[in-house]
Amino acid sequence: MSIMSYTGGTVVAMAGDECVCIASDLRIGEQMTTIATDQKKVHKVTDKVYVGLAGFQSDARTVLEKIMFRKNLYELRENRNIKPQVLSEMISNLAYQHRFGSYFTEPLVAGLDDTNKPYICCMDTIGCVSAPRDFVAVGTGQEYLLGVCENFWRENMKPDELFEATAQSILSCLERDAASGWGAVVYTITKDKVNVSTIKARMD
Amino acid sequence: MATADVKSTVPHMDMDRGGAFDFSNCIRNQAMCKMGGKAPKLTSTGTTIVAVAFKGGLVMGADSRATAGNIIADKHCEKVHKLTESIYACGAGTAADLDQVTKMLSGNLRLLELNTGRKARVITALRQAKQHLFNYQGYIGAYLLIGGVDPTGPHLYMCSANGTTMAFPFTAQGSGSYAAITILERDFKVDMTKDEAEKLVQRALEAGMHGDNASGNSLNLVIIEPSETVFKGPIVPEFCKRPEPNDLVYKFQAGATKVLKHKTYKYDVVESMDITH
Repeated sequence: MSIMSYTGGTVVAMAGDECVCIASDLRIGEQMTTIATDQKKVHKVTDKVYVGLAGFQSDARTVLEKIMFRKNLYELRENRNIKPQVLSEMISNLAYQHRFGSYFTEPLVAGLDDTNKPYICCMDTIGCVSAPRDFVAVGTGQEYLLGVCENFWRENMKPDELFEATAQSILSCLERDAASGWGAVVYTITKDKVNVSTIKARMD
Repeated sequence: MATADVKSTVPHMDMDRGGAFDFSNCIRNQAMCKMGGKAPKLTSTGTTIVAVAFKGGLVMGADSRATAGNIIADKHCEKVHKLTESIYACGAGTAADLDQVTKMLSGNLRLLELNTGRKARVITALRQAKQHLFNYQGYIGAYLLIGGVDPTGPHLYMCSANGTTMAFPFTAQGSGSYAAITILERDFKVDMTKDEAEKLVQRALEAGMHGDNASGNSLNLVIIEPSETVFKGPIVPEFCKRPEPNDLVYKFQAGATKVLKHKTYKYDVVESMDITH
């Protein structure tokens, strides 16, 4: 079994019209055994920038600490909030520094920049950034999500539609991914607020 | 803490290793592999890249698919990297390595141009790439086509991950290179016109995208001449287009998803001084 699917977990993000949605499941496991059911894989970096970390969760925690450390230093030095593009470059460099002994986590960045343009991107474990304009997914349910998002995503969705599309995508993923599940949480980031919704999902 | 204090404490922490690799996880990762954990799949460009020299210039091109195993990780990834105004590199192999190596090269070449006040040469880019890659004995999986026009004329080189380099009038690299090279071998002529060369590169790329699963989606071209550099792309060939569904709208009504818990965080909108624009 791959280390990447040891704890399980999935994160997905979608971009809309001046809004982004990022969602994760809540399960953490030890292979087939469920250990905890309240593990969010989405973390707040600034008001309008969130990062998702799928893969081996103990590495994800370590990487999150390193990300926050670097982000805090950046904000102290520059005296302004970090942009999602900058954060992804930062995480990419951090991951590539560990090119020959990588952290087993795939980071995902979603947020709005200072002009409220949506930005989403995902990386592999050594920091190869892919930043499409529609949607990204990482984790054990990646294959299922990419397929379903391909149909659910449309151009210029408003926050409400975007939330439904993202929520339904991750719910579809949870139907077929045994390593993810036990509920899901969806963050809808818009220019003046963030909506955090725990959605009803199958609990098995 | 004042900014100056932060700056003076930072170099002692784990951030600035001068760009060097950190091997601190290697022993743990090897142990995990021994316990039976498979290493994760890395994004590879699984590419078709093609370059052809013509009279006075050079055409380079690449498809835009990045794969992780059989998953298409990125449909529109940029594999034609700009090194300087008139030197470009197309990459095949491990995508992260290519991004970082080309980023390093473009930085170094820009510094060189600023320090010398001259345009960088293609051979300089090649030497920097090969010395870096040879240092890492092929473990940095970057296979590059480096080409461009400098005061000594148009040049096209191939650089392998282990540091081997060769010069070519035309060549293809990546997993789709077998299909692409057949087109080049059949149709390449010495001293073609710009138009002929561009068409040839596009046909070779399309052959690669057709025949190789790891190549496809769209293609990017760059035409480098002494006077100007023109970038074209993304071009989507007819056979790469997704069939448009007649009437397909998966539109969920607001409230379709049952929400258990809900919380809204409003921001304090603070006027910020932004120096970027």
